[in-house]
Amino acid sequence: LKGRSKTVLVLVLTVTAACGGARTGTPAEHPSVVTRSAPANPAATAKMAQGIQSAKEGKLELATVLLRDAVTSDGNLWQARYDLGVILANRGDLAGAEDELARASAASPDNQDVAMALAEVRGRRGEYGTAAKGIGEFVAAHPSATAARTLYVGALRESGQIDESIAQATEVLVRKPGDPTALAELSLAHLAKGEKDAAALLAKQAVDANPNAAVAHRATGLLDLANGDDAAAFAEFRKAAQADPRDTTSRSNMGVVLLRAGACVLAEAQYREILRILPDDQEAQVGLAAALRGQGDAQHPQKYDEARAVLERVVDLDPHDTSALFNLGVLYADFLKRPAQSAPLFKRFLEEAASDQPLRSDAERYLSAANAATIPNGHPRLPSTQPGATEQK
Amino acid sequence: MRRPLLARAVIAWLTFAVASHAASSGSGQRPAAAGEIVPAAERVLEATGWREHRTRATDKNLGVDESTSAGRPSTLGPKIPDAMRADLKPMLDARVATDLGQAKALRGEAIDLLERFIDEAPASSRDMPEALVRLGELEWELAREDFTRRFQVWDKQPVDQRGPAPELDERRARALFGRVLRDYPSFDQTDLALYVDGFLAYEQGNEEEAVDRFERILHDYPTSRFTADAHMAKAESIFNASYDYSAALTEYEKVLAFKDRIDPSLYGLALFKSAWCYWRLGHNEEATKRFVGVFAATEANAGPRPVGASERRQLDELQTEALKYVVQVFSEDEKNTAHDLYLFLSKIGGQRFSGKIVRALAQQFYDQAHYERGIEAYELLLDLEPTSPEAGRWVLQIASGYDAVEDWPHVRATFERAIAQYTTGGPWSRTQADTANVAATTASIERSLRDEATSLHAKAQHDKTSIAEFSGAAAMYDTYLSKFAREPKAYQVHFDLAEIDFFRLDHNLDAATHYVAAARAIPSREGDPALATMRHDALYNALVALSRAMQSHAAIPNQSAATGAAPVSMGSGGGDSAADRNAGREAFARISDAYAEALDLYAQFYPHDPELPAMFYRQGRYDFDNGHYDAAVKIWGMLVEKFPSSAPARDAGDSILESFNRAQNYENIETWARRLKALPAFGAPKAQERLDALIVVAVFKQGEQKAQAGDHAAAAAAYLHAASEFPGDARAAQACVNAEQEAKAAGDVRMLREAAQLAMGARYAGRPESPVGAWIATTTFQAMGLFASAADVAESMTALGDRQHPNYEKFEHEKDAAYNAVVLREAMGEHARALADGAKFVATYSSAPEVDEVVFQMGRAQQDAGHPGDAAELYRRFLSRTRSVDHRLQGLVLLAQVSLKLGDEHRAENALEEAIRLGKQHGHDLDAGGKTAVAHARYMQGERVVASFDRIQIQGDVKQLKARLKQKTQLLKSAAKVFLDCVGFGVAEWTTAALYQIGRMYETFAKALRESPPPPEIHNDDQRADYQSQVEEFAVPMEERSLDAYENGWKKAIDLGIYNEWTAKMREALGRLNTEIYPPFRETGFEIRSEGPMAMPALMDVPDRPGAAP
Repeated sequence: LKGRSKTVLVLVLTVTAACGGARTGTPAEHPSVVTRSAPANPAATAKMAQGIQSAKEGKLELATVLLRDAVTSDGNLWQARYDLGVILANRGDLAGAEDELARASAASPDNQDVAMALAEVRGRRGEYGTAAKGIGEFVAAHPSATAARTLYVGALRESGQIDESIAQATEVLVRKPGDPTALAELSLAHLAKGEKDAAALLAKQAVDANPNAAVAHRATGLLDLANGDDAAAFAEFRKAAQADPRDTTSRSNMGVVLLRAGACVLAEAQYREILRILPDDQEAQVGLAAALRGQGDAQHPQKYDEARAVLERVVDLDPHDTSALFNLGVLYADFLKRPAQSAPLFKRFLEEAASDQPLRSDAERYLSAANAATIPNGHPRLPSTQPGATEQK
Repeated sequence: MRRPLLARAVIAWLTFAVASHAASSGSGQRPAAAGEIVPAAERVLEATGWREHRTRATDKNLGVDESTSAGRPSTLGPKIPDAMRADLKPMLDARVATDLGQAKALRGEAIDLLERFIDEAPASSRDMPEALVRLGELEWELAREDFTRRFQVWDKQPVDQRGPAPELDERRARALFGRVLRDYPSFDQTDLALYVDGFLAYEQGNEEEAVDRFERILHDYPTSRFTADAHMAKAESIFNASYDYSAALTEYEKVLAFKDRIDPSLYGLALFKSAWCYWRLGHNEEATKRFVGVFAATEANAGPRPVGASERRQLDELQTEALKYVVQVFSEDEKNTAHDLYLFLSKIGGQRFSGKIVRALAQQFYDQAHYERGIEAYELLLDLEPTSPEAGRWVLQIASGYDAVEDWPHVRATFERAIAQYTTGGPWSRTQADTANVAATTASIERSLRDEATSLHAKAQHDKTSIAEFSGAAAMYDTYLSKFAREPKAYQVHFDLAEIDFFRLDHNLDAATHYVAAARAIPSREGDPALATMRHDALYNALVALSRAMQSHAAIPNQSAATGAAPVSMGSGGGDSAADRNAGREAFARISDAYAEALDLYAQFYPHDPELPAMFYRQGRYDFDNGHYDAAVKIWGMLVEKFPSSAPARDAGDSILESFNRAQNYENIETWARRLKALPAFGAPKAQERLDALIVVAVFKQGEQKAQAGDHAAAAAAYLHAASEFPGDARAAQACVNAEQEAKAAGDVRMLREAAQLAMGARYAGRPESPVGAWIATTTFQAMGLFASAADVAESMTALGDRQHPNYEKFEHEKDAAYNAVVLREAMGEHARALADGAKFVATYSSAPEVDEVVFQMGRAQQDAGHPGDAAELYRRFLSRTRSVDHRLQGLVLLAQVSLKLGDEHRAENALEEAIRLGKQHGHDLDAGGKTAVAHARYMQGERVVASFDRIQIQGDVKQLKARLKQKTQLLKSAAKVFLDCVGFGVAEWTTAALYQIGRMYETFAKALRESPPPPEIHNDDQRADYQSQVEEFAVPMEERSLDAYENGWKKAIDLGIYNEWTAKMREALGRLNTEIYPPFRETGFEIRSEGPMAMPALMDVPDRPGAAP
């Protein structure tokens, strides 16, 4: 397409590290409504300050305790509740985070950071519909909050409301013509609708608007994937990760492509990078475990143990994570040759997984095999076969 | 009712003043210009004495002249209404006359009968003394009546003709009583005769005889019913004749001893006189006590029996006298205060009379000019009886007292107090049941305050030098207006206050405010020249006052003025600081607004004053010259509206525009230029033309101004407005472009679309700015993701790119627009429109390098539209004309693809062969697209071999099996060769795909071998095992080759960093073929995703909220 704007819009996303600094929570694009609050309880603010300091020092558990004390002392101290929600989200306690952020949002309905954080947590929990509803209400009340509206576009798309997602993305673009993020989001919405040509044109516009926009390259990569051009997709994901080292989505997608291609060492590197940025990202941990398992063999049995440790941590943190349960079961059954220990995992998987989960039959098969391999008194039998060889590296 | 002297004086003054002013202003004297006019003269209030005004007015206002000072009416109970009384009066008078006539007749008859009895009866008759007494009484009455009649006759005569005054002749009566006393000593009513005769002697001035008679009663008839009277008569005789107060007091005391046996009037009189005696004897305290005792003695229920009206009147008079003397006694000592009196009354148990007495005392103090003590007495009254109906009047008395001592601050404070507490709605009024009294009190306060202020004003004028008095009067006028601004006469107060402010205190702005208020409030009574003159003077002087006020603020320049000469300093304008300057400017603005208002009012009342337009204009000019453009425009605006046909209106209009131009207020320039266009003063063609030009400039400037201010939406609207309304202007087309840019910045799609349509419309399509605007629109829509709108505009640009629109034809982005139209339509799935746009592009820009890309787009459009035949034709035509080898290669591949879709194998093969040939021919010269196309073509050739390979089934006729296997093996080799050849082109995607295909062919071949059914001639297991063994001999090597191919391909892909679906497929195949070395990938939980978790936003700091107490 000709005639693209020469203007390079550098999108400054306010996604600084959760623990890397603190600010006042003033929305970047929408003036906060200053509400008259009751005087803050000094004891509560003191706890809050200590909590923030602890978080900066990486002592997230202590920060959590201090911030809980702060909100207990002063129920109106929504800033502390917000901080608590953010830290809980970063620690992987998404349910707790959602609860705190929802209460912070109720107390401060005009704060963009709070609204976006809540939507983010809901998205991470897979509650895209709820996320879209919540952030949609904020956007309706704050029409010029384009960052929130952009997030709304994604939530709508993920929740299957494609047409509304397109409408909202267009709304962002009307306010910020040529905005690469919005163009990319609009591209993804069209892609989700199967309109590849429009998606391609928009993705190209996004890249043209800002060649360093990670989201633009990610959208292009996804479009390439949809067109079956995995290599091009991988290249785009790589560009996205280079453009924004914190773009964990592109790294995750690269990890998936690498895992599928059998490049486990490279996949491990990607997942480790994600976990450096988001230490409690469960999907990345599951991917890392797969990458580690892929490198395990008779000469490298420690890789299996590493994979097991990663998966067990995920299961400990979230006992309902069906992927971790299944993969850990497979690890025990196929690679560690301890089918008895795989049985409860598959059992739990079958309890947790949806009825239409395609891996249910595999799990049942594994469970049956594990049960058959277990003597009546419950002691596992000795493995009858040696661990298999691993891929060549 | 008599007109108060003050009112008469005011009216006289008004008449005088109006007449004198009419004489002075009748010569056409008007506010010619600010600072030049001479005000109407001050009205003089001193035509009559100010002190008299105030005193009498106060008395009248207080209502003391008719009722309060004269005491209460003696008649109690219901009264005959006045109207009925008037009707009955003749009847009553006639009745009285009749009764009197009858009484006289009866009395005459009685006298005749008694005289006849006395003449005829013997002297020794037992009834003789009584007859003599009765006749004496009647003769006494007759003598008094005769005396009255004679006196009336004498009194009616002229003084110089009257002669000696008639005297009461009681000799006949006394002779009769003397006969009784002399001839009938044993008469049982001798004490009566003695008393009457003594009384008559006393009336005749024969006091000795009188005393003798009373002494005889006391001596001879000590138990007589006349004893007390005799003592009283004796005491009075002593009191009046010898002034022996001590002796008189002794007798009075004897009278008082009969307290319960005598009439209250006698007792009260004796007590009163005894008090007198004590007073004269220097015993003031006892005297006061007794005077107060008179109050108790003369109360309504004080006596042992009810009293008649006449006696009651006497008692009341006595009480009044007692009151008078109590006060007199008490006030003799100048140290005594009302409070002292109150304490004294409390001490003697007379608190219940304190109100009455303090009232009298207060009045006494005032009468004695002891105002401070009177004020204190009234204050005490207010304390004693705060809810008294008279309380409001007492407050006015206090004010009057302060007035008397010329304590103006206290006068004002007292009136403020009166207004606050004793008028309707105040706290006092809420305690009153009598609303009429409240209304009357309020009216009294209003009247008193007005009169007080007027009086002081008059005094100030009389004294001439006392600014304090003028200030005091002004303050009282202010006080008045604070409560009574809506009173009918408030206009007069406004006017008088304005006069003081204007002439005496130099409070010009205040003066103007009150003059204008007066002018508005003056009743518009037809034919009242005094009021008309007053209004004229008020407005006239208001203008002068405001002019003076403006002069004093004119030194502050208006900083909002963009240009213009520095204003001339005309007075003190305040300090040098910015705050001072701001304050000065604000003050000037207020004054200027007031001036405009006053002038407007003047114009309403005197619309035909020929000087008015000039007055308006000059004032505007004055404002303008001093840099106060807003004020200038306002007043000129009024001029233009009120006198649109006048000559100054034209100058004013021009000046308004100039003023806005200096202030760079283009919005108002436009507004005013449009208004001026409708005025007769601007009706000339040249003037209309000039205004039109001005409007255009103003509209354009508005756009620029708003854009600079960041108000993009308003700027867009302004530019669009300019372009729509003034298409003939040279800048109109550019206005469209500007409107688009501003609409873009504002995010206003509707405005952008409207501006674009206007820019490309018939009016502007021929202008060079038009394609620029169109290009801005299409690229903006595109950037907004609004592809349909972008394509519409792009197509419109293409449509305009003809000879009739050379600016479009030559526009640098015209071709780009045509190209974009194709891409946008195809992106939207509008294949037909994409093809049409593409055809137009190819036809218009046949030699452009973009043609190839357009053709590809069109081909895709044809394919996507389900027209592969048309696509093939398109590609063929393309191949015949394109010169780019790379593009030819791509075209050949596309042609091969559509040919295969059409089932035209031959054409597909030819296309691929041609592509390979060209690729190998141009080798290193190819770009990435060309290389990819060659590799793709080669891969497609491999696929075609694979398809042939797959078509050969192993199962079938056994006799031909060997041939089939051979053929299949041949094809496999051929395919492998082709695919390896494809790898040689070094294109990652096709390299991995080719390697995978090689492995897949071997794998499927091995699988097909194994799965092929055994020949029918095999019947037993041995034969079957033998057969399987033979098959494995073929299959295993195939599978090994497959595994090698996959493994090599996968490793190569990993080495090359190629991670695509072929790499994954090869790894997957390895998992199938060698689970030990390449265990299959069974894990789950990681999917490609479009939206992943974002980093959570940063933590918030501790809020900056004030801390609560811990």
